[in-house]
Parts: sequence; structure tokens; C-alpha cells
Amino acid sequence: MAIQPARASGPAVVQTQGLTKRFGEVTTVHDLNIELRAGEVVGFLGENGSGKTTTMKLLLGLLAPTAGKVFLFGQPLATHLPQLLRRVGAIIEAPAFYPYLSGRDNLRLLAGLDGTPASHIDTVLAAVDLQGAAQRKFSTYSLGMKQRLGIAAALLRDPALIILDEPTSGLDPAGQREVRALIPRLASEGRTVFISSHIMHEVQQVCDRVAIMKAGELIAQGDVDTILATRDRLLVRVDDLGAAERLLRQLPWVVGVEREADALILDAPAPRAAEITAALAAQSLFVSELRPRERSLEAAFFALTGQEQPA
Amino acid sequence: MRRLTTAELFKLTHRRMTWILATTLLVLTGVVYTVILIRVQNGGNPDRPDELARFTQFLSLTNVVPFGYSVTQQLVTILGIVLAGAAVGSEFGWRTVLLITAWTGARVRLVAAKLLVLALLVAAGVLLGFVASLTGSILAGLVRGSLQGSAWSSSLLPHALAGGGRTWLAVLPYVFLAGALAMLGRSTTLGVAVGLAVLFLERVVGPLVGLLGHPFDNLQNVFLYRNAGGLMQANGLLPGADSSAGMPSPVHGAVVLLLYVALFAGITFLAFMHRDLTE
Repeated sequence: MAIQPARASGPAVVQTQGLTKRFGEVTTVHDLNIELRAGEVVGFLGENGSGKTTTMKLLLGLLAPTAGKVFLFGQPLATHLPQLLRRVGAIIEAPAFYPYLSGRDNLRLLAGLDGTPASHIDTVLAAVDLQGAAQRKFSTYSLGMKQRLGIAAALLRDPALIILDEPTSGLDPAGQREVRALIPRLASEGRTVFISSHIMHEVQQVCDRVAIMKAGELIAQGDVDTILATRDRLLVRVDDLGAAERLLRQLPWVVGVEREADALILDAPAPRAAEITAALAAQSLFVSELRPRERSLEAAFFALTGQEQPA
Repeated sequence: MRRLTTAELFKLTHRRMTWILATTLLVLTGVVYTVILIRVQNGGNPDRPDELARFTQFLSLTNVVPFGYSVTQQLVTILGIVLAGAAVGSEFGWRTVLLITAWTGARVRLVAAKLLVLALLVAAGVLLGFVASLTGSILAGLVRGSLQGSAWSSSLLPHALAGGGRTWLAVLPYVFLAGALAMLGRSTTLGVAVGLAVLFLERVVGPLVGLLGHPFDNLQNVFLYRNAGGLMQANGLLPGADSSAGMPSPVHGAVVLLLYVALFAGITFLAFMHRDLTE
């Protein structure tokens, strides 16, 4: 099931056209067309091996596409890579830095590569609360500190586009909360944030839109609200669940009926709620509760990717 | 390019290994001079008087260019292979190659900066080795009471500078070979191990090729060590060395070594340009 992309306003910051990457016989990304607009926070979801990280590497020019094109800020990446990357901050996989250099020296090295003012170093170290450990060697950092230094590096040159691959990985709950708070703040400054994560509630909290990958293909892309409302679900509570289930299964617009504790969960259009009540009442099955059943992004993800949701 | 070069220098000069290699160069040069001095002071082997004369000449300031640079060439080649293998291979081991490439996107300039800095550090190593040899020679002269002021002729400096250039070129192909191997294998170990293996094994294989006789014996002259040796002869013959050893001429040596430098640099560029850095 593919959801049409929401057309956010603003210029396209990232655009891919038929982006494809093959490694030998294996197609990791197939005919990918995504578009990110200025100021958006877009979540990138998919199971392991679905092609998320490969896509991010293609956006950074770390991999050359087998077919298709990447445009950043309206310009083709293939011909303007160094110039375009100056406007991008990224963490791909685990943050990698020089282990024998301090956190501050690692940032100094990066700042020196493109003439970023050294004064930015203190700003970004403060933003990720790493000033106290800035003089320590990277090799002595905990996983969470390494991740925070990665975020600091991504912010160092005041990028217009930030690509974060699992940015809260390795962070403790407080650190995760800080990152979740940081992302909307970055977007409010007009930056575009493209973030991959396995933590669905995290994506649901911070993202405006999501793109969902499965086996290298984009299977859904749209507003978080749109993704969540892909299928209406209704919770119905009646005394005689068995009789109600038999009756509701006969209604042509009820796609599915599941039992959940002492209630039924229907896959059915929400506007038909009154008809459901009437149909049950006609058989002396009186409804004690009928309400829309909200879905989490996690449930939507599993429904869209056809995976079983873990109990 | 300037920023990338500065960054490469920053990385290598902040790395402890670089300073350990530099210290090793100084210590080993000192050890060579000390051992020879002790041998000379002890009177050498009475059955081989020519050996004592040769060792005495090694210590002489007048021979500091041929002998000092010969010692420097051997040591800087070994240490340079270690430096190059580590400088290239570690970037893959630490995955910092992703960081820097994603930051700059300038693969050609990244490799160019790395090779340029390696070449600069080899030059620094050659200079350091020569200064250590010069110091060793002076100290040996002072200890033996044989320091000759006449050795300080006006031609010493240009002779020393030219010798330094030749030594640099004799070392550089090995260093670039180690860098290319580390790039191809994305591994420090591969760069260092195979680089050192080439350095030592070609001295075994080369003479074997020579034993095949004409026309195969000419194949020897494509070996790195033969061309490095031919070029280094222009620094002056080492005391006791055989001038008719059939080494390639200095010009032949320089041309072949430059070709190797270009070949290994080209391999490094091609490997990095087409390398999937994310595997």
C-alpha cells in the first residue's frame, strides 16, 4: 500500500528520482522517489536491511547510485558533491572519530576542513552537553557520548539539511529525550531533518512525515497523521461478543473483526459507526462503547510492512 | 587542498605513532653510530684490518652524505612503510574515512592531500635521519679526537641537500606502495606487512633473477631496491663498496622510481575513487 506524498510547502531540499542501488545481484534500493522540503522532519522507517542506511549513504555521496539521481537543494549531487555537502550534517551508523584525538580536537579537525569558525565548536558542544568531556580522548567516551559528539559534528557547520541514522542509539533515556527535544528545535530554525529510527514512538513524536521502506522499496510516504489513518479501526463493546462478531462479519464494509479482551476491534470506516450501532441494536445487541481505535505508528508500520506485530 | 593538507598534518602530528616512529629513527641512527664507534675504539678484528679502516671512514664527517643517507634510507623506508600503512589503513579500521568523505565529498583531493603529507613526512624523516647521522658523525669525531674542520667545505650543504632529495626519492615508492596496499585492502596490516615483505623479499628474488643470466638478468633493474641503490650511488660510494656492482645509473634509478611513485599513487587514487567506503 503506498500513500501519496504530502506536498509540503517550501523548496525541495532532497529529491530522488528513480534512485536504485544494486550490490551484485542484490538490489538494496529500488526506484526510490522521495522528496523532503525545507523545515520538515521526516522519519525514515523500515526493518533491518530495508535500504534505509544505503539510501542515506546515497544522499551523502558515499555510494554511487546504480541508476537514478539525487538532488540536494535543487542541484544534482553527482556534479556538485563537495559544495552541497557543506550544507549537510550527518551521522551514518555509529559515529566514527579519531580515537586518539579529544572530542574538541575531532571537531577542530572537521571545522578546519571547510573553514567553519572555531567558535562554533563550543556552541555545538554545549548543545549536546559535552563541554565537560571535550578534552577527553574519543576512545574513552561511552557510547552515548560518542553519539552526542556525532550530533555535535552534524550541527557544526550550521547545516540546512541534517541526516541522522539512528541518532538515539546508545543514549540513555535522558539523552534520548534531549535528542527528541533537539530535533523539533532544529526544524523550527528552518532546517530539514531526515531521521531513521527503529523507535516508532520517537518518530511519531518528532516527525512531520514518514517514509517507510520494505525490501528496498518505498511502500508508504506521507504525513504521520495520514499514515496512522490509513485504515479506520473502531472499538465496539457489547455483552454478547460472539453474536456481535458473527453479525458484523456479514456487513460488506467491515473488512475485519478481531477480539481484544472484552471488546471487538473492527476494520471499518469510522463514518459507518451509526450503522454499526443500528445493525447490532436490531439484533438486540446493545452497544455499551463505540469509539475510534487509535493506532500507534508502530502498529501502522507493521500493518504496512505486512509484519507480525510483537505481542 | 590547503585545508585538507593541514587536516592530514593535524591528524598525523597529533598521533603518538608518528612521534614514536621519529624517536625510533633517532634512536636507531644513534645505535648504528654508537656500535660502529665502539667497534672502532676496540680496534676491530685484527685479522681484517680493512674492516677497521672502512668503519673508521663510516664515522668520518666527509662520508656523512653517502653513509648517513644510506642509514637514513634503510630506516626511513621501514618506518615510512609503517607510517603509510597506518595512515591509510587506520581510516578504514576506525571508519573515519566515512566521516571525512561525507564531510568533504572530495575524494581526489583527499587522496592527494594524504599522499602529499606522506611525502612531506618522508622528507622530514630524511632530514631528521641526516641530522641524527651528522650529529653521530660529529660526536664520534669528538670522541676519537679526529674531527676535521676541513670537512666543512662550502660544497657540503648543496651536496647534503641533493643527497637528501635522492634519499627521499629512494624511499618514496615503498611508502606509496604501502599506502596503495592499505587502500586496496582497507587494512593497516596489509599495507605494512606486504610493504615490508616487498622490501625484504625483492632483495632475495632480485639476485635469483640475476642468476638466470642474459637476457633475464636485466629484469633486476626493474626492482625497486636496485633503482634505489643506483640513485643513492650519486651520493658517493660507501667506503669499501664495489663501484662495478652493475647497479642502474642514478638517472635510470630516478626515472624508474618516479614511475613507481606515479603507479602507486595512481592505484591509490583509483582504489579510493571506486571504493565502496561503506562495506
